Amino acid sequence: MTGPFLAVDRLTVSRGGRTVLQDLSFEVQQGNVFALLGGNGAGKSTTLLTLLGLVTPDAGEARIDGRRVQDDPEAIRRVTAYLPESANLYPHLTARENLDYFLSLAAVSPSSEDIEKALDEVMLAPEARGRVLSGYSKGMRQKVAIALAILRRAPLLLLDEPTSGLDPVAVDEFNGLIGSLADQGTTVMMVTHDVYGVCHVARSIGLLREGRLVTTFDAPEGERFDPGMLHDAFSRGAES
Amino acid sequence: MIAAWRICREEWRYWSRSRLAIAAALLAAFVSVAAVTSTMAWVSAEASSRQTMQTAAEEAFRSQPDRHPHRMVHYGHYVFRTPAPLAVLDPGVDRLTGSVMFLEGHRQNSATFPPTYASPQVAGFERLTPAFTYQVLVPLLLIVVGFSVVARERELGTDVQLTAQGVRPGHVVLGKFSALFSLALLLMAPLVLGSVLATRGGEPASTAATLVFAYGLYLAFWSLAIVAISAHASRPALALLGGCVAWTLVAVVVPRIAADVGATASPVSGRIESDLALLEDLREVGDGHNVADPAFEGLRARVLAEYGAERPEDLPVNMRGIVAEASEARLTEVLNRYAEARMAAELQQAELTRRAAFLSPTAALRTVSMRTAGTDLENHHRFLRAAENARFDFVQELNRVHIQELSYIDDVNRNLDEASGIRARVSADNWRVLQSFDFAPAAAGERLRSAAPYLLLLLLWTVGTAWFALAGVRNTEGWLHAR
Amino acid sequence: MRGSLRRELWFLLRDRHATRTVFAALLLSVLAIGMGLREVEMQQREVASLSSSTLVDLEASLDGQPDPGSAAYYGFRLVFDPPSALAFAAQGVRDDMPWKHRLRLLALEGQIYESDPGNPELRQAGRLDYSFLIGMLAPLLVILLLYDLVGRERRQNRYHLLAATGGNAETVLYWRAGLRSAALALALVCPFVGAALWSGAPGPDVLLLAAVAVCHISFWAALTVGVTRRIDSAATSAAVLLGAWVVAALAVPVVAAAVAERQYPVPEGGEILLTQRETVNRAWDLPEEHTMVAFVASHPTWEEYAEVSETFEWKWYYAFQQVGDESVSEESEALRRGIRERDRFMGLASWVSPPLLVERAFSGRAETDIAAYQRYEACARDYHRYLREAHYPMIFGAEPYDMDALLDLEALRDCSVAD
Repeated sequence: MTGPFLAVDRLTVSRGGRTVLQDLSFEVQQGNVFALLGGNGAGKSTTLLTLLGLVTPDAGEARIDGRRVQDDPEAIRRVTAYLPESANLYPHLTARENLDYFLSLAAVSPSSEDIEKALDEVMLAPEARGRVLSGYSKGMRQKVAIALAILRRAPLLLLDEPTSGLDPVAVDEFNGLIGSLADQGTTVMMVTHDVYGVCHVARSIGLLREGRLVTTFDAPEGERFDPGMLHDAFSRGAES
Repeated sequence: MIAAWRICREEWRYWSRSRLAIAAALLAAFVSVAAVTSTMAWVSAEASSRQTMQTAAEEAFRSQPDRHPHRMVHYGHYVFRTPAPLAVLDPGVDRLTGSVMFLEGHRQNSATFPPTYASPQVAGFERLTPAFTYQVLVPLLLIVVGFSVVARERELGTDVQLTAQGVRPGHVVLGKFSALFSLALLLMAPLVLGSVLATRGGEPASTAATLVFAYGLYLAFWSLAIVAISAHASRPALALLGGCVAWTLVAVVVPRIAADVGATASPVSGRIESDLALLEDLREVGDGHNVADPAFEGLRARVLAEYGAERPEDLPVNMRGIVAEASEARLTEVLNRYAEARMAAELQQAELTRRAAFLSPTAALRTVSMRTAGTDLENHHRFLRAAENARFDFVQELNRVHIQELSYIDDVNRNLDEASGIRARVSADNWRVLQSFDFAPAAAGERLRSAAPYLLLLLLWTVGTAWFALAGVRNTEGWLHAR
Repeated sequence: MRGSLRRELWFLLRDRHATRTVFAALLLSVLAIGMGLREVEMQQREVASLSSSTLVDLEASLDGQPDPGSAAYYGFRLVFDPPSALAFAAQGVRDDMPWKHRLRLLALEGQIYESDPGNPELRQAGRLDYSFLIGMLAPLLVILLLYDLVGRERRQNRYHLLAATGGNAETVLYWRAGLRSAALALALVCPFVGAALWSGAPGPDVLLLAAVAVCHISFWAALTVGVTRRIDSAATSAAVLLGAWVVAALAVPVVAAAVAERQYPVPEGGEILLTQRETVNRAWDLPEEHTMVAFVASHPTWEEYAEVSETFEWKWYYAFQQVGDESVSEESEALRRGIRERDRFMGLASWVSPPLLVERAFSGRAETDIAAYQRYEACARDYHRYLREAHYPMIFGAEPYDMDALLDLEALRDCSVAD
């Protein structure tokens, strides 16, 4: 495959008479972890929903794996795994049942060993797997949602504020997981306002402000972002 | 399609883990079983006791001793209305109309002793009949079970998750509808069983099947309405609110107001009141007991001329009987004129009330159900006409006996002494003229034809609601952003 | 205190959902009362026109009757129970049970069950009268108005904010629930009080029924608040409340009625008619003495006039009519007793069904319940006795036939006039 796996070109979205995204353009290569960093109301979630084909842009386009999202959003959704801000799974079902159900809807039929393997991978305690999700902590629910993304074997993973509300241990585990998925070739794009958290996982970062991409950074090869530098950039954007 | 099937199965799993859904479904199951069994027991007890009393009344009539034939006209006869076989599912007006009617000469009595006569006063709602259960109760319980079908996904955010798996909104609607409708069909099992038993009781399969189909269609309407409201609502609580409001209006308020509008728009005067006007007209007919009544002067002259006789005593037939027969015929004409006018007025009220079918599918089903079961107003009128025919036939048959079997001289002298009283009697064999009264509702074809327009309306309601349900989630954006 | 009231009143007026519900309640209340008043007016008009036409008809049909027997045979007189001043609020059993009869001196059992009900298909739909609104629909309105009160605050995480700022979140919620229920009660009860006073109902009755309505609304309001505080999800609590409503308003009355019917059997109405008719007709074939002996046994006053010499005498005719009635008096009494007992049982059952209790309170005060029907029936029987006793002296020949005296008899009996 040549070219970026995810390409956003001059995307403009307005909702309720207000321009939410304006001329947004960025590219994400396969296996990269791209984070869109922005404050409240910067247009982060709208970007994700547009990528999923759930919001129709007024101008511009988004391409995933070379295909225009607007042309066939359902086909796009089949190759994309999406992790909403709060892991939206059924509280009355167990982890296994949730996975089984959603995967069958996505026309994926993994064996029960596959499911156990994925749950191992996300480090969900074996004794919790048969319990319904209503008793889970937020971190545990997030793990199940990631397991779903893994099992979907989707080449693109879209994450909305994945670490908000997680405790530090859970954040570390999560970052490790994302890193290893990216290493296996999954393209990851996340939106967040967590300046410090994002340093540990993102390999490139775009700064979004009032629907416009202000700037993008790439992490130095093999290293992490410097939180201080990011924080400065974020604050400058917020002031100007 | 597979997605819709999975969503349907998942909804059942959700219900199986929701105490509320289980409780509501169990309540609905209990109520429908209780309604069908208790109504079947009640109607069949009612039917057999009416049948027994009918036979007893006929036996009593036929076993009367030798008598003056006109005595038998006044002795009269009772007819009982046996309920239609499908009355076990929808007793309709049968519960409210008299079950016994006394037939006698010169009078049309009203039917007395409706089954409700001695029944305890139940607040507001009618008794637990299958019709009431499936028309009013089951929809409410379906709302309680299913109000959250779509709105819940929205609240949990799983709508996004579903969409992210490539599920189309139409599949969600189809899946949720299938789940609710399959529950509704399950709840219809007692109704189906009842209609099967009704066919064994002599009901044609066509009407029984149509009745089941109509209720199925109606519950499909509610299943769709619940899904539609749930799909349009941003939160489950609002979906429940919308469902309740819809139910109250459609199933309770509109049919009742329609009945009141019907009664107000074309009032029918009370029977006692119209009877007074009737009496006025009847006085002009003349007294059939009085052979010398001037009202029958022309008749007397005609009969005498026909036989070339001078005096009634010279006739080979009994002039008193001829007068009685003619008077009964004239009088019946007046009676029927009033009865028909009354029935036409009642029908007009009912027709007006039935237009509520345009505003409420419950009203539409109510009409379909009563008409198919043969327990509607028209069928009550059928009974009244059949009873009147039976009355007229037996009275005129007795008058013919009076004309032919009893001599005029014996008749005139009947009150002289005991012996002449005995001479003025005819043989008890004549009482065998009484036909057995066997009332049956209109033929299946006729009932189905009369129910058809309302069935069509019900179908339109269902189709319209299906469209509304799909509109709630017409596109992916719509279904995600009704939040 | 006044501050809370003003604040919450403002809050209520700003809440579209609440104002709409209250407005709908007002609309339903006015509608139900309007339909009730119209029905009462129709009944009053019917009574008036029946009264005048009965008088005209009586005079016409008595005119020229040769003897007291014929005069009694052709003379119909009216007995009726006009709608009470409160009947507009509860139609009760007046739709199903007779409340007017044109009686003559023939056997009463053959006449008393004749009823004059309206169109059965219309009656089958049921009535939306005021008692139905208060008993059955008001609980639903209360639930709709209050089910989300706690849930909404919780959902928007305002519950703790309220607690933090208002000092006590519970108090605020109670204020809110109380004010809403009060608004609903006002919308439902005010039209009733107005209409009741306008139609001249006795003040204490109006007050009592208004209090019943308010209590019923308060009961459901308290239940709703209690349930919503214990259950987190507004939808679940509303569904639980709906279940409670189904049980109270539908299940309890229906089950109670079924139990009452099983527990207190009544004789078959048709059997009473058959027996009575049979006795009356058999008399024609029996020796006259047979009838007269039976008659004198219950009417010893007429013993010396009981001799029948001709083949047909009116006194014998009316004697066997009366004997026919007496032959079924036991069954007829058993039927009335059964109905009474069933009603008493329903009265007991109503203590576990507030909606039923409310409807019974209304139909009781409006004199449209089973008890009122039985009072009317007793009154009609009493009137029939009055007519018999007035006619017997002339029929039995103790007094000369006097047409004017017969025309002077009470031709209309209004059973609502307390005796």
